[in-house]
Amino acid sequence: MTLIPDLQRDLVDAAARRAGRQQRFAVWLRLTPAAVVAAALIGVAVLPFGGDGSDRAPSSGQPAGAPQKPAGDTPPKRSPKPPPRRGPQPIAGSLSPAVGFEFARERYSIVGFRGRSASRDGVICTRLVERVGDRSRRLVGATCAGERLLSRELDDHPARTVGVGGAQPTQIAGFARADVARIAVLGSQYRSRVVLSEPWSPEPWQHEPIRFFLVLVDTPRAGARDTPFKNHPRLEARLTSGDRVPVVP
Amino acid sequence: MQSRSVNSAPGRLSDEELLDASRREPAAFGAFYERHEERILRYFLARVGDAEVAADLTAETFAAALAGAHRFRARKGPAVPWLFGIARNTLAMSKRRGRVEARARRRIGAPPLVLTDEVVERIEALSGPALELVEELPADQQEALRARIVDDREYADIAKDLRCSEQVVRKRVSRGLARLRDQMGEP
Repeated sequence: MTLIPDLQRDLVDAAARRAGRQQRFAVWLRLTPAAVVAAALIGVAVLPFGGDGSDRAPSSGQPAGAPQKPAGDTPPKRSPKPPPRRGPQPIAGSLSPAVGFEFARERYSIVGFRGRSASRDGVICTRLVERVGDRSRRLVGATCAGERLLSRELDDHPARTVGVGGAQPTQIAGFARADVARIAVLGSQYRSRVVLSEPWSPEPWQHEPIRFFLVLVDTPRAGARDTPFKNHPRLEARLTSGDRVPVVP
Repeated sequence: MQSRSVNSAPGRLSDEELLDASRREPAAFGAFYERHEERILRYFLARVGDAEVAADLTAETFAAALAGAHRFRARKGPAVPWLFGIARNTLAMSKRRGRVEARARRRIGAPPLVLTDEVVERIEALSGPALELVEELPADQQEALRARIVDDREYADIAKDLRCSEQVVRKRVSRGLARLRDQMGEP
């Protein structure tokens, strides 16, 4: 029997949550090499067949059976250009589920992840892409925060902005604790859209799960010069407890 | 370290084994808490003199111990000095900030501690009248006496903490006890 039984129960509950998370991470560690080997084997098996076989069909301007030009003379069809790679690259297994949404008739997708960095501690990042057509994507925003600094900041503040940028629309990105249920935009004269992710752990992550958020503000082109730093709206975090606290800029 | 199940006999496991096992078996940390709760509460009670603050500091200390259990290495030293190190840091940080730290509790997702009157009374009962007399001793004797008698720590551990020899600690404790006996009118 302890003097403070409730404290003992809370600690055991917390230990159970941590043990569960570590087990999931251990499973991920075991499965990842197997998945990489499997992907490599599949890649080796598929590559010699040359994709979907369309290259082997006669081209539209040539009758069937006409002699084919040597493959070396025909310039290979270029695959769609991949989005430019900027900033830290995601570490496998750290990606959050992507959140897709529409704003001002454009389709976007945002994802959170742990990125590689030169320092011992990792960086926790978000990457926003604009979807163009069915397949093509264009990187339109990326934000990162140092892991240690971020976890300390979230200890002290439920939600924290880590990046503001872009002129049209203005982007305000940040991270929040899992107990933040909503991010509200206060006093903005422009149309805005808030995206708040589900709680996720950018593994390996020793802290409580976090959320990322993004606020897009449809600032007019004329006012873009003043935005985003001067006139961006105030944000408020609404907690699951019902409390409302300002998002720390 | 050989892994033994905590569910069968937590009392047979050492502190170090309990900390190691707590990564897999949550009950191990419960057993570790149960074993050291009272001495940590006494440690804080002797320094802050308030049962509720002592309870909050104890909660924060054990939360920090749970959060850092994966970093604990038995080969670097036993678990009790490690735990008291966390308690000292928690107290120092809380004094500096002017409020009891809650960072570790938030980190492990523990809810705020709610104490009933009954629990507060039980904690208050841990402090005795002798503790008030201890405050009248010179600072070096107070520190040594509290560490040895109230916190039940080893001389070697206290000496390391106070940066002096074991012999000096023993002398301070002995002189402190002699003064207390005088004050209490004991022979």
